[in-house]
Amino acid sequence: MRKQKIWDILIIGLVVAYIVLPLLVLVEYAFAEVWYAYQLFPSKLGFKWFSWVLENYDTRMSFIYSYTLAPLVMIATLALCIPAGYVLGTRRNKLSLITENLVNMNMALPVIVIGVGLLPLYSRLGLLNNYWALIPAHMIGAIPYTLRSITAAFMQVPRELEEVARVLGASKLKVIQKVYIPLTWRGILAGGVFAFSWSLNEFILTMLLGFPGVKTLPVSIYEYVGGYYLTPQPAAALSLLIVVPAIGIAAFLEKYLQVSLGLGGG
Amino acid sequence: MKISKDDIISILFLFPLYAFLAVMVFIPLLNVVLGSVGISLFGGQSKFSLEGYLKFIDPSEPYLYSLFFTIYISLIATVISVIAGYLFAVYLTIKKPRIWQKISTVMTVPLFVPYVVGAFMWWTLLFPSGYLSYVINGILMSLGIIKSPIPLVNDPHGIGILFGEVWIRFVVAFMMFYGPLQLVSQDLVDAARTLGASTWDIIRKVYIPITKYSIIATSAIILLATMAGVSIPLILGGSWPQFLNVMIYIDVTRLFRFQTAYVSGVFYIISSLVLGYIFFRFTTKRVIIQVR
Amino acid sequence: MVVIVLENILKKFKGVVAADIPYLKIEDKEFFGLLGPSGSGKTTTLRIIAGLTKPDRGRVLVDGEDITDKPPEKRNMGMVFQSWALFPHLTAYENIAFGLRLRKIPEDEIKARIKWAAELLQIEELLDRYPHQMSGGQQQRVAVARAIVLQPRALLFDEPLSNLDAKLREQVRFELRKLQKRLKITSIYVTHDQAEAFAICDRIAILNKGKIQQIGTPEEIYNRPATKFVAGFLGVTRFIRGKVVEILNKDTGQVLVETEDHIVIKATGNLQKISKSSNVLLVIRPEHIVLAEESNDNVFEAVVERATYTGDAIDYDIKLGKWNLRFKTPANLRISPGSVIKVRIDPSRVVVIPD
Repeated sequence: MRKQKIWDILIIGLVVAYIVLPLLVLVEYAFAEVWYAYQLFPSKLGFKWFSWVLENYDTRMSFIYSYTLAPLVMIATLALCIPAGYVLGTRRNKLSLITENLVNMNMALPVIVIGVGLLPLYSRLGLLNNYWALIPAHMIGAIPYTLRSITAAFMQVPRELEEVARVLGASKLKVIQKVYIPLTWRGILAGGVFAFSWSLNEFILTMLLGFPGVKTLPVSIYEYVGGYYLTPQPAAALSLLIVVPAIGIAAFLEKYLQVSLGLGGG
Repeated sequence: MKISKDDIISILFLFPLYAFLAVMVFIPLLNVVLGSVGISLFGGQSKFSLEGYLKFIDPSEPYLYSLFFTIYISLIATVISVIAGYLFAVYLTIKKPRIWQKISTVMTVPLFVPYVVGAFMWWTLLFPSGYLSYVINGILMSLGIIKSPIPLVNDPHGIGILFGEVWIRFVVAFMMFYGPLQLVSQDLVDAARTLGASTWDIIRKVYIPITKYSIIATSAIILLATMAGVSIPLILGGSWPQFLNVMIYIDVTRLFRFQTAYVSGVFYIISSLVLGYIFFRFTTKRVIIQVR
Repeated sequence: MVVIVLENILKKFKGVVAADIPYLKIEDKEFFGLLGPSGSGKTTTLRIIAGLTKPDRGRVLVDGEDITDKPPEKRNMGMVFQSWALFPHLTAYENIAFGLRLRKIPEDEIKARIKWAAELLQIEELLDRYPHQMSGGQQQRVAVARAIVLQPRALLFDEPLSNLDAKLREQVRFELRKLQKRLKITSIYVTHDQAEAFAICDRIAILNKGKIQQIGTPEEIYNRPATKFVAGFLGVTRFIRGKVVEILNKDTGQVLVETEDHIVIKATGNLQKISKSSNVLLVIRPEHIVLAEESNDNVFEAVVERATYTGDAIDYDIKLGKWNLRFKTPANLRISPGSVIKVRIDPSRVVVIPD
């Protein structure tokens, strides 16, 4: 029995280490104030790089852009997806199925292809290097996931409830308030978080369309690695500025609001 | 066709979505397809030509080799991720170690990490002064397999890309397999044991055949995602050879060769449709084969 | 010879005792039953014998060999599950061949053995079908064929008939017993259905809450139950509580029992377990009660409370003193509720057990 437990610990330990160690190294770089090339570990830890990225104009702007675009994208995506999700979730007819398949196809298409096709359109409309024009661009990738989550939420509401409420004399508004919102808010919130997270993480479209002035955190991180900088520390700090809030939000949702982000599946 | 009030609501509520998709997805896609044969939707000269396609299949141009490289590396990454993800999921299903419950949330961590950050993380591990670079090169040199340290990232063999891709895809594969595996009745495993099956026999003869649809579907979607994702090859790949989507990026932002970029785009559209179709066909089919 | 012995077995799940068996011996070629309500530990015990569940302590011996640490795949015991557990992705033929292929038995011998098993179980035409193309009864036969084709040392049955409809169950019972007698393999049968256990098994162990209450032939445990649980679990049973006031016959064990409402009844008991002044229970079943002639002894007055027509008979709920009893008459005899009747309790069949 004990021999089995040792194997279990070894295998699970290995997998967990494989997942977590790269992140720990990231953390190490982000907090490395002093780290000479010959040293295995940093000699001094501190928040220097965090204050550096927030003082540096470029990176500070990317931080601001990222965290202001994300909520805007979330709101816009929800505005689009809630009515659509209501229809897809409550009416399972041909139109719903076609729409779902279209959106799923969209999910399968690489964003870069859409980006390349979008570039001339944006160029023509003068929307390049435009903060607001990035919102719809971010929405493209967010919509399939958000719509799925919201549709699933509406599918959980038994059809009869709406009818019963109507029969009992509730106005349309009351129906929404008392029937739909309590039962679907979790799925809608999860969908909103997907959109928020997608926008935060979005890279290639922002690179293509926001160039050169509008940069988000992922773009800034790329600049530090894809280019000439050999100091990964600022990029590490920037990375943590994305990852930590993301994990924090997810943990908060899971624990306090019991919103499961059910991230498995296509 | 009678249009009821219900239908009006449906149309009204779905309209913004369709309008959005038409402008932001359909038109760009159309632009790519038409652009691949020289027709420009948004100004500029429009002349039907197959020049782009000819360039694409021209062996002296980089595209063909890039396509091969993309598929080759993506296949390897997919195979590794799928096998590792499946075996780990099966191991947890059969042995059910208690420690797992406390740790399972760890598996969701890579999902919160943007691809760019994930790629960057592996860059820090694999670049010449990175920890993993020291360890791997150290082992290989002490075993006499190589004489001097080899580049493990930004390298011409796609090693760096593989590390980054597998880290992210392994977790996705695991999560996509875990659910279906739980659905396989424990009775079947017990019956197989009484018939003389070892654990390896059970994996090969019970679990894999019963979950084969989810294996196919998961492999398709992971292959697709690996081929399509641009951040990882961009950051972890070398200057040559590169993934096809990186070629697209370079064509569009540096070389201004739009037509070949569109042709590459068309290739991606076709492969996504094919792989996407496989994925959806095999996930709507019963996820596992069941008796009833 | 395949004799299975369980020694000092204990298994707990989350602190609850699932099986607690100090000693159990199953004889060679015997069809042994494990009977009890759900949660009684019968399936746990079977799984311990199969090796699918590891006991917290104790030993499992087969012909004297300690196999407690042997994994199930090495024990060579065929098992038939309640859900039949047929592999859904394989045909009946491939299902049956599964174990044979694992042992790398040559193809023509596999064919021969499957033919033999298929004839025995009458499933020759089903061999090319998949489980979802077969009825419950057919799947069950394939499951049995799959188990016997490996010529196992023992056969273990875990409620294999509970998912079949009642008529089929009755028919299959006898076929299973016939099969076992023909194959002469030591077999263990788990069920909660008393009639099934009685029809199939040579000897039965009755379990409750993980412990064995009594072991015996169907006749023994039914007519001479050792505990209140066994008496209550088998057949339709009613109890009358009382005290032994006199021992009438030391050889037959006939005693006189007086209830607290001063009814005196003659019955039979095990004098090694009861004596004068013992607090006892009388185990009374419908077949022990008949409508009485005036002059017989052990006759009492009772009130009919309810009469239920079951088609072939009428079940009566009657009250004797303060005690609720049940008895039966043929359907043509109709005694209406409220009537006062005289009934005779057969003293040689009514058993007295310690309270």
